[in-house]
Amino acid sequence: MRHSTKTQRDTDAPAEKRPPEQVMRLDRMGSSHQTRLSFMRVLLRRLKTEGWTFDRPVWDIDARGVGVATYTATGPERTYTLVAFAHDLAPEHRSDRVIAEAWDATFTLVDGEPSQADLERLAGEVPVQEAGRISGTELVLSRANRSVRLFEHVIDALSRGTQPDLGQIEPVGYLMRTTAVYGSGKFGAADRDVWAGRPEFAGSFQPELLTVWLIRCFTLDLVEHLAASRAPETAVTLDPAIRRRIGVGNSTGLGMAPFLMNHPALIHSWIDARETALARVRAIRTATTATIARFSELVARAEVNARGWAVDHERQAEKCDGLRDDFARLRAHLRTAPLASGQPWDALYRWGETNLSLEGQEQFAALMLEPHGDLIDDLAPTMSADEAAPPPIDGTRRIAALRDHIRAVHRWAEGVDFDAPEATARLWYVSEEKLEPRLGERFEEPLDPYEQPLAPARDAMRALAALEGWDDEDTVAAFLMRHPEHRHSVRRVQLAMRLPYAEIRDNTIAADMLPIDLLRCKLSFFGATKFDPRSDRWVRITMFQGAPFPDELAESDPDDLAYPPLS
Amino acid sequence: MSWSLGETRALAIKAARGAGMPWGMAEEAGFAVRWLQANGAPGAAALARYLEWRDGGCEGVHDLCPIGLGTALMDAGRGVPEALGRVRQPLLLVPFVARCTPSGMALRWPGAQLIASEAGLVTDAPRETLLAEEAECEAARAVAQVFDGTTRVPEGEAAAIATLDHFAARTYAPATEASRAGAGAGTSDND
Repeated sequence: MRHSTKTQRDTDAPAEKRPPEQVMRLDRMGSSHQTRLSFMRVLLRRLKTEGWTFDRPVWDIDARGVGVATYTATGPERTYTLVAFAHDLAPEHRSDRVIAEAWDATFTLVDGEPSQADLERLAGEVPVQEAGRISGTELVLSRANRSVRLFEHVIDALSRGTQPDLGQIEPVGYLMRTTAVYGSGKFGAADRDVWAGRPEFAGSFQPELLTVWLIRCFTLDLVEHLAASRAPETAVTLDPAIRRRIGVGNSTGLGMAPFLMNHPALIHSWIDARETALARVRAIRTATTATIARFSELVARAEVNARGWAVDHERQAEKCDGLRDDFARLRAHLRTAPLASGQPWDALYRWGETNLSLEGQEQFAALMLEPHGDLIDDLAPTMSADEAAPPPIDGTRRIAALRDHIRAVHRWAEGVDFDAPEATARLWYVSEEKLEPRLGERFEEPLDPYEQPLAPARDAMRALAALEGWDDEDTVAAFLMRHPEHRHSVRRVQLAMRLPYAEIRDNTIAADMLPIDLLRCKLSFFGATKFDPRSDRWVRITMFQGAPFPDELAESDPDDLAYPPLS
Repeated sequence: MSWSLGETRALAIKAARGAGMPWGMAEEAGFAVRWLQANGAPGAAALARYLEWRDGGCEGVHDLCPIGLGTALMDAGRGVPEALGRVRQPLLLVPFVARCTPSGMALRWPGAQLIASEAGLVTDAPRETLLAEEAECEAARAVAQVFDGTTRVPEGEAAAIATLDHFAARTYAPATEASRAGAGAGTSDND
C-alpha cells in the first residue's frame, strides 16, 4: 500500500510484513497488545475529530440504584442513544457466565433517539437479554455486573466526603464488567449491513465500543448517585484524575474463542493492518528526535503498566515477569544502541526477536507504532470485511494446485500427527444450554457428532488424504461434487491463499491448546488492557481505563491515555 | 417481531447441518436463505420445507438438492444450462443462478418466472408457487432488474423459523454437569 507522507518518502523499500507462519501462532497471538489501531482508540479519535456531543436526557434511578437512564451521542449526521437499565441484583444471582439470567445492569444502543413507547418496549426485553428480542432500530445488546468490592469502596468513600483509594482502583480498573456485548443482528438487532456504510462505524466493532464507552459513564454516574443518596449532606463527586483511572471491565470465556476461526476474512483485515503498520515503521530510515522522545516516554509509561499488571494465572504471571525483565533489557540495550539511523525501528525489532520474550516482542512492536500516527492511522478503516456471503470457491482450479495450497497454508503442520490422541484431544461444540460454545475432551465424552468446524488444520489434512488417487488435472469442482464434506476446508484454504492472515497456523484442538490465547488476540484488537486470565479458558480485561470521558474529549488527546501517567 | 438477516443465515446454517448436510454445504444453504430473504422471497420457508422432506432420507447431498445443484453450477464456472432438470424446492436454486450469471438470468418452473442477477430478484409469482415442492426447471438469458431489497425477515415467517430452530437444535450437545463446569472461570464473580 502506498503512502505519501514525508516520513514514508524517507524510507527504503518497504520492509516486509511478518509472515503468517510467525504471526498466526497461538503463543504469539496470545501475547498481543493493544495498539493505536485498536478499535476503541479509533473510536475516540473519530469522536474527537468530528466534534461529537453527548447528553444524558433521562436519569430516573432511585436511591437503591434501580431505574433507567439514557445517554445520547450526536455526530455530524446521526444520534445514538445508550439505554441503561439498573437492577437490584442479589449476590447469589451474580454470575459472569453466559448461563446467568440476571445482571446488575442491562443495556441497548438505539439507532436514533428512543420514544417513550420505545423505552417501555425495551424495558420488557433488554433486562432479560437473550430471552428477549430487540428490533432493527437497536444496534447492540449488553449487560454488566458490579465489581462488588470496588463498587462499595467508591460509594463508601464518596459518601463520607473523601476520595477512593487509587491503590484499590488500579488493580481492578473498573466498577462494572460487561459479560456480553452483542451486535451485528444478534437477538434481533440491526444487521451489520444496515450501518456498515456509515463513516462513523468504519472499521470494526464501533457500535459495540461506543456502547461500552457510554456504559463507563453510566457506572460512574451511578456510584456518585448512590453516594449522594446514602449521605446527601457529606457526599462528594469523584476527582477527575481518579475518575479517569476507572474503565469498564469485561469478563469473557469460550463463547468468544471461535470468533477468530469463524471470521477468517475479518481477522485477516485486522492482522494485515497491524502488520502493514509495523512494516511501514520498520522501513523508516531515520528516526526523528520527536519520535524517539515519544517512544522513550511511552516505554517508561508502559513499564508502569507492566509493573501494575497483577494476575493469579500461573502462565500469565510468568509472562508478566518476563515482560518486566524485557523492559530492563530494553533500557540497557537502548543505552548501548540508541535509536538513530540505519532503519532504527527495524534494528530494534530484530534485536527483540532474539533477546525478548514473545510478550516483550509484541509489547515493543505495539509501542513502536505509537509515535507514527501520521504514517499508519489511515489503515484503521481497512480493518473490516463484508462477510454476508461465504467466500467463493474457485472450482476450476486443478487438483495439483489444491494440494499445493493445502501444503502451503498448513506447512507448519507437517510434523503433526493428527492420528495421535494429543493432537485431537479437544473438540469445540455448542451446548444446548443458552447455546454456549464449549471445549470438550474428545476421548472422554461422546461429543463427536456435535463437533463444530473449528479444527482447520486437521480438516485440511483430511482433505489432502481424500485427494489421494485423484489426477493432478482433475478439477476442484469434481472433487467437491464427490466429497462435499471437504467443501468447508477447501474454501478456507483458498481464502488463506488470498488472505494469508485468515488462518491460524496452529492446532486449535491440541491437548495443550489454551483458549485464552484466542481471547487475548481478539481483545487486544478491541484495545483491552490488564489481561487477567481466571483459568485457561476464561479472562477478565479492562477497557477504556485512562481514556477521557465525553465531557473531557474536546480538551484531551485520547491517544495519550493508552498508558498510565508517570507519577 | 422480526429477525435480522444475519441471525436467520446463522440459523439456516445450523439447521442444514442439523439435518445432515456437511458444514460447507450448510454454509451455502445459509447464503441462499439470506439472499432470498434480503430480496423479499421466502428463503427460510423453502429451506424448512426442503429439510423436512429430506429428513432421515439421506446423508450428505441428495440428487434433487437445490443447494447441491447450485454449488455444482458455481464450482464448474461454466454458466447455467437451459435445462436444469428436476429440483426439490427450486427457489433455493435461484441465489446460485444469480451468482453464476451476475448480469441476469430468468429461471422458470410451472407457474413461476424469476429474474435473478447480482442486483437482486424480481418475480410476480405468488408465495405458494415460489415454494413449489419439486419442479422441472429451465433457465434463459434475461436482463437484470433491480429490486430494493429488505433488511428483515418478517413475522409471517415464524413457522419456518421454528422449523429451522428444530433442526438447528440437533447440532447442540446436551448440557452435562461436566461440560458446565468446564466452561466458566470456576471462581466467584462476587468479588
